[in-house]
Amino acid sequence: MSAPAPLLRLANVTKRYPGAAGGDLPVLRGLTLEVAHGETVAIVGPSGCGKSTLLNLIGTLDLPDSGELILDGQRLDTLDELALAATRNRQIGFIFQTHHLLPQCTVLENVLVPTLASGDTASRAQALDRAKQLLTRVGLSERMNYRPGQLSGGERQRCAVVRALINQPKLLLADEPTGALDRATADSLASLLLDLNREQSTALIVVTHAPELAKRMGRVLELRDGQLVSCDGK
Amino acid sequence: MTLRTLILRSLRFHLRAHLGVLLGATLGSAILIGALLVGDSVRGSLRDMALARLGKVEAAMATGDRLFRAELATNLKAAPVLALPGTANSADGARRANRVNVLGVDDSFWKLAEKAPPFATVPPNSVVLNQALADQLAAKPGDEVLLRVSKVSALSQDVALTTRDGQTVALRLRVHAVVGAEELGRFSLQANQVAPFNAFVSLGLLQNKVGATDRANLTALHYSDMEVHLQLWGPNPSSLELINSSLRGKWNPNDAQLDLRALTNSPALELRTDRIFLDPPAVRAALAVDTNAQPILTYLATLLRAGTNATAYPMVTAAGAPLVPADLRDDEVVINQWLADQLQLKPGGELELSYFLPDSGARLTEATNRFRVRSIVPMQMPWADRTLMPDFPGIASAERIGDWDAGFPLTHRKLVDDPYWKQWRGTPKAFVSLSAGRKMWGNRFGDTTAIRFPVAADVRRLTSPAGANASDPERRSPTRREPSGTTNNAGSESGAPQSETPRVTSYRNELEKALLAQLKPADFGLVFQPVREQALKASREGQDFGGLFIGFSFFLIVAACVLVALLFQFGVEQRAKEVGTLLALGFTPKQVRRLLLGEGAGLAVLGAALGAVGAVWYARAMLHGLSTVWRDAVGTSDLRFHAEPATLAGGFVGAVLVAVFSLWLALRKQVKQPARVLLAGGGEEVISNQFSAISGEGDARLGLRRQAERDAALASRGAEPTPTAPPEPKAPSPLRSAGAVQDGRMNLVGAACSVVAFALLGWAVATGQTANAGAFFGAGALLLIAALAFTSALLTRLERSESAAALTVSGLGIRNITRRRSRSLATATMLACGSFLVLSIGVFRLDENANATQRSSGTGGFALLGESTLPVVQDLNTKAGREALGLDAKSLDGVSVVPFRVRDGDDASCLNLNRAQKPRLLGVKPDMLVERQAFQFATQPDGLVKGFNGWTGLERHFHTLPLGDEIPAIADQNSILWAMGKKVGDIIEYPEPDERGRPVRLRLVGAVANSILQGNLIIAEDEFTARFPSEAGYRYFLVDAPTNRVADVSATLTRALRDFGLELTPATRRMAQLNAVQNTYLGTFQILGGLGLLLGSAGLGVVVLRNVLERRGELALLLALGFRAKALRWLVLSEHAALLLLGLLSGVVAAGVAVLPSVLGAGELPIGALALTLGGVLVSGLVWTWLATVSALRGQLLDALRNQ
Repeated sequence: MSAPAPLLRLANVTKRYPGAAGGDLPVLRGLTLEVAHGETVAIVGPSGCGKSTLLNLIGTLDLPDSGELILDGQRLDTLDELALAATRNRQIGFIFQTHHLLPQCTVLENVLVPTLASGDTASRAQALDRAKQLLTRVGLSERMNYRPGQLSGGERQRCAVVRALINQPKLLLADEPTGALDRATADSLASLLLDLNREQSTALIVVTHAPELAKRMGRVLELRDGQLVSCDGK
Repeated sequence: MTLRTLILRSLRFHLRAHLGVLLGATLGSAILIGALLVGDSVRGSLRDMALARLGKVEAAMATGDRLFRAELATNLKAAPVLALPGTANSADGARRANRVNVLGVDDSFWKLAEKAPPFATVPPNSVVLNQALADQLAAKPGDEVLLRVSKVSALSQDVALTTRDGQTVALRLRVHAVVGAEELGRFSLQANQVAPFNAFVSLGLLQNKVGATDRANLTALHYSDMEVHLQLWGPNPSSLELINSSLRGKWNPNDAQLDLRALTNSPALELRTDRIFLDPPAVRAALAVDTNAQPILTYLATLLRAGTNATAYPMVTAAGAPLVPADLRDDEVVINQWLADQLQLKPGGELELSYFLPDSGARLTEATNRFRVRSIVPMQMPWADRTLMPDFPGIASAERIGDWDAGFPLTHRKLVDDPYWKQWRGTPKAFVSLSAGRKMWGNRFGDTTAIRFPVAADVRRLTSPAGANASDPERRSPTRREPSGTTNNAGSESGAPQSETPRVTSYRNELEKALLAQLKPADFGLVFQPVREQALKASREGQDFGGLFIGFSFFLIVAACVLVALLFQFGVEQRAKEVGTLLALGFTPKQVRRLLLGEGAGLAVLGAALGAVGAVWYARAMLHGLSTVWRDAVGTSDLRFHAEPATLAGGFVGAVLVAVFSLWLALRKQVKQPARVLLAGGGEEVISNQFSAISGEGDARLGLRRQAERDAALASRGAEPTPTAPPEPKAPSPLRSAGAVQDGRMNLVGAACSVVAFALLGWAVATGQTANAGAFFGAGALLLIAALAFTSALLTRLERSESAAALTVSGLGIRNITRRRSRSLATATMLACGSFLVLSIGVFRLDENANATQRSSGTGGFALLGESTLPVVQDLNTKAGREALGLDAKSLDGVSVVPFRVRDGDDASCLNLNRAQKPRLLGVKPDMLVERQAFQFATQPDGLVKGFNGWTGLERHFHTLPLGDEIPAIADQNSILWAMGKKVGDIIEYPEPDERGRPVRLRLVGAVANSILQGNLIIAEDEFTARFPSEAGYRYFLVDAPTNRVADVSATLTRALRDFGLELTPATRRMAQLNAVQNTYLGTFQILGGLGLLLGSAGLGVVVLRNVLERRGELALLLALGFRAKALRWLVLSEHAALLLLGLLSGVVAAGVAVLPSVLGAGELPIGALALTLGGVLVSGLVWTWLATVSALRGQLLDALRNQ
């Protein structure tokens, strides 16, 4: 019996940027990564090593110069802009260091914003129920009609987590999700992410500088010289 | 949650940030909708004026010098009017008005007014003035005024025999009232926004004074008043058809001034007219109804001579049998016994017949024909018939020949035959064949003075159709008898009266009926025109001021749009993370753009709604301008505000679309930024040569593009593109290489444009074309492009500048211009183009004095232009003509005149805002303009015989292709294009037929460049007189006069022709009046353009704000490095002041070249106003920049550093 296909597969991915002296500066050099369904992975590394670049590539916010990027059996590096947007919307959830909530919308509305991108009006009613459920799940049932400006930092980030999960993505990407939070709130958010990972069977990739958060992930990889190196031998 | 909810949420949340956008959208909408409302207002005002001048009048019939029975109008339930041209003087003679419409009206006329005047009718010996005339004469009720009115002449002033003295009558009248527009004070059938001078007098009084008892020449009606019998005219006829049908039912030959009377000396009826010559349609009809009808043409000979014997001023009749033998040849004559005895002539003898050419008018050109005497007839009927002479005015009723009051001097006084006159009066002394007579005396008015109908036993012959011989009157006689000296078939003594027998009466009745059935009122110009419909059409199709003001306000609108776009883009840039989030959440750029655009559309809708309110004020302000400072362009201050719901709706939609389009343009670039750049708070154009770890796709692509450019640059130097090769120690950086390429390219463009511009200037100067506005404008535009190219190159060079040693705060500021090179260049370009256009548009100001004495100029080289109220029939170029007018030959030495006949119509010049439906027609002898080579042709007549051009195009026979019934016409290019909406080659169909009822079709064969002929259509005089024979004399004059005596000549002619109401205007002044329209438009454009530039300079403030806010971190760093806040403000200010100066300077220098012709031509360049505009733009730009700088650098700048 063959091993199940990974949810995410990066093979020989390279990414360069133009250098100051006129040459190119490689950021990712033939990087390879596989992430299974429901797996949790932390990516660590020093500033400027290319962690965010890697996350942007996985999140289809950027394209590799070479190599393959496959999500759930589909090559992403060959898709056009529309298909990439659809993939981002349906299969990937994003959590940023800052919440990036829309200040003009309520908490509930913010959570529902991703559902507007699909144009699938039929699923919006279901999405509303799901949004309420998830918000209740993360303890924001009393804050649904609040504006982001009326929430604490932790609440905003929880709201951002729910927004990332609203379309039931298979992969959740978090770029320094606890970077702007105090320790207690950061711990709480980490627990929430892991709980939701289990409940929703969503794979989670976290880019972080925080060792505490990294340790709580199933696998910790370090980005070093443009390659991922396992830190825990897993 | 829906997209709409999200848009509404965003709108509400960002409303404060959007206030600027809203303000810009409101401003742009107000200007756009306001401009359209100006169009509405002008159109509406023209419509109001049209309706005011017509009151309730819907149809009118104007017949000029042809008088119909006033009773006809009454029978048609229409108001009879006797409209005559005249002049008016105040009682003390201090104030005068020419071209006054003296209108004889009765109470029925005032019932057509929208508002009844405070009097039922004009009392006798009183006059009612309209406001314009009252103002001109400074007259008020109770004052006396003197009107001089043209008498109605039965015989045209152009006929040699007509009497010319006492053609006007003076009326001293007391002003009864002054009527306003609502009381029909502006009554006129011509579409023009300028109020006419109207003097209303009692119809009866005017009829009596001018000798037109019970007559009228104009009638007007309101359809609902007319009496029609609907069942008679078939299903659903139009009101106009009904009234014209009713006219056909109620008119009689008397309305065409035809008179059917029984002869007192023979059993016959005679059709004649007090106009002397029967109109051809009347002749045709008469001959058609009675095959026995006999046409007769009797004319005055000045002299009959046989050898040394002669007699003066006898009548000669041309007719067929029985007056002359049927086979009388055209060179034979039958004379009566008296003449035979007097000249001692016998059959076979030779007779010389001298006469005035009928058409020669006051020129009295004499011609002589020789005849051989065929036979001599006794002084018996039918020859001894004094009724053969028409009732020549001033002749018929005189007791002695010496008492004749004719239009010619009795130069052969010694040869007059008073005994004959006393005994036989106008009995002809000689008879020639009809064809011979018509060859001699046929003219544009007709070739028949009477038609006789022998009373037949059987009246049924009248109902028979015209026979095959109807058109050959020489062969119509059923009884052909050889006249002989012994025959006397008269049956009665010559001249002995016979009473009308019942048979004659019965025959007369039948004949009248038959004639009426044959005649059509339209053949005599008796036809109602839908004047209200025509007036509304003229106002509807008039000058589109909406479009015009959109053009004038173009810069304002563009500036407002740019402001909207800048502010919105600015606002969106502030929300870069929000946009990035949406992209990251799976929205496509298109969806995000749609979301933002939806938000912008909301603002645009709100702005347009507010703008619609502002538009009312803008339109009112523009109307105030048009009624005051820009009055030259419209010639009236009666413009009232109007707003059509459709215009408001259309303007609203247009304003929203324009704003949304501006926002769409602003958003395109914004949403093209990658999500990660936006999420990083970006949106800044990545042109930095510093490596950024977060720069991504766009940056990478930019890097690759630059790599390619670098490769290209290297390749151009023969080097291999080696991306990985280490840079040569002295090799330029890639950015510098790409910049160098761009720098070089821009320098090349700049140099090329400069060379071409200077070559163009050199050519213009070398060939003496210093007045060639196009060449100078072109050179200016090229220099502008060159300046902008050099600016671009300069920015590139500054970007690459590495002169660290020479770095100063200002230098650093200027270097910063290059940070956003495209934005900086766009700012400079906007300012440069704006200032260039606003300044250089002045080059198109027209200078009436430029080459005014040259034939090719707009004045045609003429010194004076004259228009008279009454026609002048004398030839102002001959000694006799001048003497007849009491002009001293010496005072007019070196003076020559080109006279034009005039058929009144609409002014088709740019001074008339209405669309001319029936442009005024001028008839000229083309030779007079050809020999002078007057005026410059913008479009030469096409299809002429080889070697001919210019004014010869008016002459039908010079055209290679047959013109058919089309009349070749030439007009001013502006009139053709703007006032008539036509082009050369087009055909203009007049809404009214000519005086013979034929359609008037004018083919535009050529166009004269901007000239004093604007407003008119010019045709050849012979074409004119053939179509409008009743238009006597000349009323429009172009006068050549020695340049040093123009004022004297003007004074002399004005004095001598005072009673003709002659008004002379220097041709340059007339040109200036016409030019004033274009110049005023240009001035309006410059003022509104200047305001647009001011608004544009506010846009610069927004750019500053954006630039500074984007660089708060960088500025904070400078602060941290020890710079003082004042130094930072100076840094930012110097950077943007440089942009402002660069833009303005580029525009001003280029415009300076473009306006050279105006400067060289001593034209009036509004230097003060332009300097004020530019100064205002400069100051405004600096103020906005300063405010933006201070505002952006306010607060804790160092926080920005920490946030980095």
